[in-house]
Amino acid sequence: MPDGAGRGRYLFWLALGVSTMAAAMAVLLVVEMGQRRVVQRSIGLRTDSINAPAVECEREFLLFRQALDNAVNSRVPPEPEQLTLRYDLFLSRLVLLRDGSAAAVLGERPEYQSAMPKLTQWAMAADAVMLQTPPDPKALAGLLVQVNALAADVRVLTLAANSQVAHLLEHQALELLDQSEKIMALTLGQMVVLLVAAVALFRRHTRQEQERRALEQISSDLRSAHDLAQISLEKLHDSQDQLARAETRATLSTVIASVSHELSTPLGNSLMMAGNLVEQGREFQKSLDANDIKRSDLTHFVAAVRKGHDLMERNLQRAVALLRTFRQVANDQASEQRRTFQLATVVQEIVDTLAPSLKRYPHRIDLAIPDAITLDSYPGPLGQVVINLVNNAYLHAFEGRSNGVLAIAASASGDRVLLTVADNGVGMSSEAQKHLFQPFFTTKAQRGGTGLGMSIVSNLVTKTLGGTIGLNSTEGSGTTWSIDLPQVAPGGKA
Amino acid sequence: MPSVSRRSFAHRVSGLVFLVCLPAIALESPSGKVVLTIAGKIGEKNTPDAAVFDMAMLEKLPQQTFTTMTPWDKAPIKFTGPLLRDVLQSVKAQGQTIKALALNDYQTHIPLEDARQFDVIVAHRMNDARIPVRTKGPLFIVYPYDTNPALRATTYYERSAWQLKTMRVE
Repeated sequence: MPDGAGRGRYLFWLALGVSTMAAAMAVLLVVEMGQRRVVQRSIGLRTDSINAPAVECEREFLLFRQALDNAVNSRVPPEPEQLTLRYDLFLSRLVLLRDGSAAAVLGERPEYQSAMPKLTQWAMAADAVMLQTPPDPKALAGLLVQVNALAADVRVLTLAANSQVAHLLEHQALELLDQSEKIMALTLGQMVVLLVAAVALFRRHTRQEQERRALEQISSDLRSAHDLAQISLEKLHDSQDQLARAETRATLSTVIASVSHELSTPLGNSLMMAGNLVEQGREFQKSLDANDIKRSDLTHFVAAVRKGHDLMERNLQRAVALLRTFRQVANDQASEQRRTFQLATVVQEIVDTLAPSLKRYPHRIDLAIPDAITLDSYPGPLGQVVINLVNNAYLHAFEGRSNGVLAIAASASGDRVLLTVADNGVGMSSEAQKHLFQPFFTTKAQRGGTGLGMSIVSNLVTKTLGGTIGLNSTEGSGTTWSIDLPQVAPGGKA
Repeated sequence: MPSVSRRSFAHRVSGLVFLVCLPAIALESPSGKVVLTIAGKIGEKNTPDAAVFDMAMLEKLPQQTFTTMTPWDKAPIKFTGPLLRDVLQSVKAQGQTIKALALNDYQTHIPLEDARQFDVIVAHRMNDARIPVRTKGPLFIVYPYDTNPALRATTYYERSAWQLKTMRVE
């Protein structure tokens, strides 16, 4: 079933497409989650949380250094409180740089690793000086020297932070770019899948539409073909009926021809004998008139007349018998009347009727039908069946044979009668057997076969007589027809 | 969000109630070290140009305490201090914006609306301890970040001035 297969294939591709899309979407989701993480991380690592603390730290370092320098070198030193504030501000930035989120990112830098411990160590030492009130000027001067020495380290920290931030930004940008490329590729893939699906759906729809139209066309064609066939069939039935009637008429003609031929002998004989008797009567009259009659002449004449009458009587009886047969057969053939009859008689009459036309063949017909079998049926159609089977045997089965024997036998069993017509002819091919009962099947088309004979036989047996017909044929050794008939035909006397 | 607008409305109303009902108590003068100076459009001053506060004055105002995560620390911190709107009320601030200045010259602008809308505090204690200059003190503008996702944004982080020294109402 191509439609079922197509449906299966369609469902397969649909499922595959949808699963692919789902898988692609899942991957997309994962990538997007990754991207989200990167974005969140970059929010967490805002540049100011790395860069700004470093810059702030350096700024506060410089301001503290300036304040310290003023405290040590200026003639108008600042308030000790001011110096402490600057120191605390610097330390607040230093602590932030050491403990805040920047530390996690900057911690890996070698600059940080070398500078931060130094600064922490310095701060611990510086605390001791700064917590004194007022601070010792000498100690402050020492601090200034240390602070000046540390300036490079603080600067390096800022540069490292700058560089680290630049690297981070670059890394994150690349990561984002990579992820967005993946997303684009996946989206593109999905688009392609969707596009392919759309095209496939469109094509499927178009194809289905075409198929639907084609189907509509076909069914409309079929309808008109069916109508045409209906008309043809009706015409065919008419023709078959006509042909069947023609066949019946042809059978009748055969019967008439053989009866007239048969009648011509007894009637001719009678006519000739009548003429002979007239001549003898005239001769006798002449002798009587001449009064020249001897007793022996009279005896002779009477004997001749009696002989002639006997002959005429026999011939005329034969003619009358023939006519009676003819009348019966003709009646049966022409009327399809139902009556109760002896099967043996009807078959005998048919065979007798056909005998003259079959005389020219070297074959013979053997009848073996018990007189006891009677049927309440249609003798005409039954006769037609026998005529057709006999004709069929003589025309086809015995073709090229010179010793054909057609055995017609019957047996009764309950209310069924089995009539068998068996020949020892050429038999039939299985191909021929298959088409045997089809109208217009013939192997003798060139020689005027109508191809209706067996079709009519089948019709008559099954429809009119209410029986069945079967055959058993072997190529080369003959055919046996078996006609199973009900003793009482259907549709008759209730 | 309805809850936010309801809150803001409530605060606006409460702000009005304060404005209308509280009798004007003349601002006292600081006895200790000045930690906060408020200048600009204010109706109450205790110096010729500004209102100045020492820690005791700030501690006399109604105190607010909350614990929140901040972007500057790994653990949540408990902050204590007066509400910004109470501080502003005490000087009869009448402007749109506060320009906040820090000891390290950091500057940021805080809309007065923020003080009404959110429970912003001027924190002077972190985890119940005074805040030294070394750790973002002595005063620290803190928003209740954990109560509203909208507050966990750069805008509000930038407005959270540490080492707050001066506020100028504009």
